[in-house]
Amino acid sequence: MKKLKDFSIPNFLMHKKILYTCIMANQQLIKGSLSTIVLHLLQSSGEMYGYEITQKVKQLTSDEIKLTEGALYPTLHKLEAEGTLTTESRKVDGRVRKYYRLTEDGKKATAERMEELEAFLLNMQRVLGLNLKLSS
Amino acid sequence: MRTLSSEQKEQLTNHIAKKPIKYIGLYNELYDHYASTYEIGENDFENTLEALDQEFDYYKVKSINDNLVDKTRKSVNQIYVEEFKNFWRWPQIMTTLGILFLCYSFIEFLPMKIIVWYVFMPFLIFTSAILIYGGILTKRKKYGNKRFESAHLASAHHFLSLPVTLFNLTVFLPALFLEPYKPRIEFYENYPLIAFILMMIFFIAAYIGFKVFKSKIRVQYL
Repeated sequence: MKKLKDFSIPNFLMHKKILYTCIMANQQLIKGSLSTIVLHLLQSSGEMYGYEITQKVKQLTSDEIKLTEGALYPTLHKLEAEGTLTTESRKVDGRVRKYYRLTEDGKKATAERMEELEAFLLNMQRVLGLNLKLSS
Repeated sequence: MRTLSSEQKEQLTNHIAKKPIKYIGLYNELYDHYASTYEIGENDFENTLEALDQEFDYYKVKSINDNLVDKTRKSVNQIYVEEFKNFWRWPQIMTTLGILFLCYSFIEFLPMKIIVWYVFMPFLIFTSAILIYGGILTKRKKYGNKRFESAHLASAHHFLSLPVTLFNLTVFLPALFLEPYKPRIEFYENYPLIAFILMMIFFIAAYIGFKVFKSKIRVQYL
């Protein structure tokens, strides 16, 4: 009997593909929760500038989550236009630095989003049987 | 912590200015991001620029720039609508009606030529001067041979041109109803109510336009 040609993906490529899928899935999750991350950070820190936000996320997640700056700034501009954030420009070391801060509406929106996220994660935990511990 | 030398500052200014950025707010944010990355990071200056350029490539920066103006325009339009709604309160309504009563008295007792030259023209000159001043303010900052404009002021600027457009409409409207070569002033002498209504819209548009623009002047500049 004629032997069929093996078209399966070699192991080393399969690993790359799984790794790529994991990174992409992670990026998709981060993209979906980017505004919530930004709002929460601003709630706890008071005011922050763009670069500081990326560094804070890196620090909190021990370099596991890297915010893409290309997605961060449009999110900040969107939240500012919605009236969730307010900005203040200040001169620091001879250059202009733009600080973002939550507005009163933004504080309410953050509290609502955090509640929604917590409820969502609890439901996911129940459905998928994950062993997560969420602190309130 | 390292700081940028003057040569590096100049190099960074030219580097950011080459990107497809039109608005000063975005220029300042990117400049600060690049400078902070270098100052806090460990890479040398050229490598820092190269690494960040991979994230902030041409298409990404263009998309951020377009997104910024789109969002800002929407928010400024919303402010204009809010101001328009807020306008209809008793103090403003009474003041506007008072001004309009004076205008209507002028229309009734003074010849239209005097009204045009002594009431309408000074208002038009004032509105046009504000429009030109707004244009100069909007395009003010220059970095690396490139002039940047304020997204907020650019979005609010067209509300300043609205009263001037209304004036143009007032001037050209009679041409549609009159026979050729007849002086346009005749139209308003025969239909003073139309002049009154146009004046009312002109005042309201000018008042709200200035108010929105004024609130945006201090947003982008230090």
